[in-house]
Amino acid sequence: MKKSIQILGALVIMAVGGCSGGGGGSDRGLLPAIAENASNMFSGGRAEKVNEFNIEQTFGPEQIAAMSAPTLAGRLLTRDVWSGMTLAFSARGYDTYHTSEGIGLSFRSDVVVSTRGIGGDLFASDMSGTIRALAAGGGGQYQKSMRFLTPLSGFRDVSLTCRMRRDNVERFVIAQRSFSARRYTETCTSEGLTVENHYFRNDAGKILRSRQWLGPEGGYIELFRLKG
Amino acid sequence: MMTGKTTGILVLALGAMIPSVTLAEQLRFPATLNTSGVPGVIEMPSSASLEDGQLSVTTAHFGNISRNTLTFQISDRMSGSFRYSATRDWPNNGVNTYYDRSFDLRYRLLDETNWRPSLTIGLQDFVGTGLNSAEYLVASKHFGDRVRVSGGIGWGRLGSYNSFSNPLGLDDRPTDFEPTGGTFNFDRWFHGPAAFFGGVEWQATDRLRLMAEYSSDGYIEEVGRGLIERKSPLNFGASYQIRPSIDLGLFYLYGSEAAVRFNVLLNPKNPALGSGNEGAPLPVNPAARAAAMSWPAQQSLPSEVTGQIVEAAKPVFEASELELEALHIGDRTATVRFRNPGYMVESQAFGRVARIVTHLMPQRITKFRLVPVDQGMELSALEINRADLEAAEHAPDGGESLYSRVNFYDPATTGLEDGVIAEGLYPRLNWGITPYVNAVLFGLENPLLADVGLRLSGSVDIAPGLSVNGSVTQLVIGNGDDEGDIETTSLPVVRTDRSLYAANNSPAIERLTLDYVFRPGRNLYGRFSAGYLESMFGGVSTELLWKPVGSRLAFGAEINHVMKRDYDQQFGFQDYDTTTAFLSGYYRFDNGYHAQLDVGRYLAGDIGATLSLDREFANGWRVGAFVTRTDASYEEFGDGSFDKGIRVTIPLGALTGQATRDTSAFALRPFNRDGGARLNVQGRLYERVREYHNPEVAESWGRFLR
Repeated sequence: MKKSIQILGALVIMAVGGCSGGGGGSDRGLLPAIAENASNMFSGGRAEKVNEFNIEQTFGPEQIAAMSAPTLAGRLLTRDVWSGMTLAFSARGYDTYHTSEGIGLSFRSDVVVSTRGIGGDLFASDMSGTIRALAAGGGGQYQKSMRFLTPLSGFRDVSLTCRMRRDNVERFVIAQRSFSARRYTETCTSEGLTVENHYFRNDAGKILRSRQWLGPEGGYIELFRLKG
Repeated sequence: MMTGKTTGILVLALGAMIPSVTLAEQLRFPATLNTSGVPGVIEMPSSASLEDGQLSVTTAHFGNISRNTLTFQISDRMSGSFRYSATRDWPNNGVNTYYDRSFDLRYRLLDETNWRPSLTIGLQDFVGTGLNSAEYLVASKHFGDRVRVSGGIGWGRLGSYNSFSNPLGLDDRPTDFEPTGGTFNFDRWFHGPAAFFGGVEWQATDRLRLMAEYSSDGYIEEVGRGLIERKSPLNFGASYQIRPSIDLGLFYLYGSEAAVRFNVLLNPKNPALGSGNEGAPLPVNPAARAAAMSWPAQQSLPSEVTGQIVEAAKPVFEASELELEALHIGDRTATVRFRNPGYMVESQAFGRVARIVTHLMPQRITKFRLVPVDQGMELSALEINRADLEAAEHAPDGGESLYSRVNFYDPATTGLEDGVIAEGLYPRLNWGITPYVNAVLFGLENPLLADVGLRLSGSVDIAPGLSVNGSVTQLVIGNGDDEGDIETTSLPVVRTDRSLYAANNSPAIERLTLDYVFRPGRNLYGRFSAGYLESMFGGVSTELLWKPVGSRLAFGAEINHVMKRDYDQQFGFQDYDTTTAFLSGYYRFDNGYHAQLDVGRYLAGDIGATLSLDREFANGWRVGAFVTRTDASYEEFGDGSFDKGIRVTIPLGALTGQATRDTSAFALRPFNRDGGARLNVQGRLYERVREYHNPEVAESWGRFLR
């Protein structure tokens, strides 16, 4: 009996680690390294501009191999800051990644569906159109909705009309490894607003690299799959 | 007692709650703030309004005159201002500068349309000595996207140049200053000669605005004293937006004076950090996944096992800025009592606790009962189905519809199981050392009296509901004792001798009380406190509050018997004791407006009522005003005639974006006198209780899944 409770406690503490310390299964080698190289600062009040981090060169295969959990590197373009994030939790088709500062991004089929802790968070969304269009290799017009939390705990909704275009296969380097994947360009419009997202999807259907719009305040994020 | 006229003002204030049918966004470009800190051109007012909820701080200087103004856009149509002005080389109260405090009120009567200008009525310095009193009607119209023209008619100060007979036939206007000030100057409003004024603003670039105006302010008193030259009624200037919230204006006034005006804007509805950047919550752990957590088979767990779960969960709560008080695991329902030291928005605390509990409970637990407690006192209970929580976590509606499926109620009479209390909570010592600032702003003889020092505060939680709380301060530096002579009246001295307390350079016992809070019954909350209740009074205080969980209305009763403390703030008392008692009514309106009425006996023995009206924002910002009228006459009260003021509460989390319940609050009173003075007892029940009730929780439900 006592042992089972201890296991429970360990599970709980691991989950907490995911929230505030980098995530269950986080790699102690990677995150401190990213912290040193990229300052790990996404959030508005703590943002630091970092120029030195290079997604192609800063890490190598040895460091990637040492990671024990799926890991992404992300760059918030509006603030020009990088952060590493590891898979903290996966359930019911949603993957939640956490940075070491406690910022969370949830994905469904590698598409960002919500954020927490960036400021002006994408609170909830319906990205099913995007996911279907990617799975179908592009296609016709579809809708997607994004919901943002206001400072007064209300919601602001943005409804977008989108199209997914299938582009060429491109080669790129992530952490000194070369990949090839097909680029998909998603163009979405709303009243007075046009956004363009990019997804680089390999033959196995996994998105290795993307640029996704998080909202009016979050702007675009570039994501690179380091492991997983 | 309140007069009919006072009631009229309050009814007018309540009228601000009526939402406008027209959006402020109709305005082509934002309002300029004039040298008096209200929407205007240069010195003259315009009919423009700030954004709803906006706060502005303006400081303007020219010649011998300085004006500092705090303006709040109370509603889309109504704004109020507090102004502290200083006119140098004008002897008053024994100093060579005339310091004056005044209040303004503006209301936009008509919105602008394609063919009609907007129209605003304004009262300037409507409750004061009358030094700057004026009334006006002003209209503004945009021409294109870059030009706004304003014109109006003014009375009083704004009717003092090139004036004509009063078109309303109200020719007699008192010209003397009120000796005590602070009263509503009804006999001046729209009385006396009137004059026209007007001006034009041109938005030259995105940041630069040029203005010109014709002023109807004759500056008669100032010109007569040689403080200002007034060679021309024309003023010219430019205003430059340094940042979206910061504006600098440079003006040439009256053909003789250079002026500078600087203003800062902030809007609680749009803080710089948006909806906050506190850390992400724990993901919801699906019940099916919890099934794999090796839970024992039996339905009811021995308390020893529950205790182990509690101890394992404590660090999880702490990492989420929460504290686990007790846990009970039933057949299908888990009851969690928790404290919320971290989240200003209580819905967010409920949501974070619910997420944590999904990681703690086996699959058979299908319902969570979340009970926030304050010093062991249960404040409300929120029951949520585990399956509903799972479904809502990534739902496109952000969990908005989840609220319709939760059960929110008073747990006082439902016989909740006690559960296992976390170890180390009772007894527990909490303590801390922090710096403090005690400031009295905008005095008649000194703009700033402030003491800075260190405060050692501590509390011992003895048992649920029972605690000892106290603080000791040590003054480091300050001028709080420089208030000058104490002006006494026939009222007992209860507050006007605060400088004698401030003169204490030794460690001072600021507060030391034994406190007990309890639930005497359904919808009822009780408090008993005894000891050194505040820095100037000690004794006993007891309170009873009626507040149903779902009610906008609450009532409270409080009775205190107190003695005046010695000036050294040690353990001794002076030869003054009194009993104060109040009946209080509270009502939370829509759109964040809150009213409170306290009727009873004050510290000086005067009997009357205090009406408070606040605009509250869901992120913790509060801006409000209060007025007290008692049976103490204006003469007995002294300067200011009766107690009134404005107050602002700033949630520090809105400034840092982090999870914290810390706030910074200040009140601005024209005069802090003995009449209408209340006991500053800590821990009054209403504010502790209502934040975990509706409508507050329902209105902030958006943050449940934040």
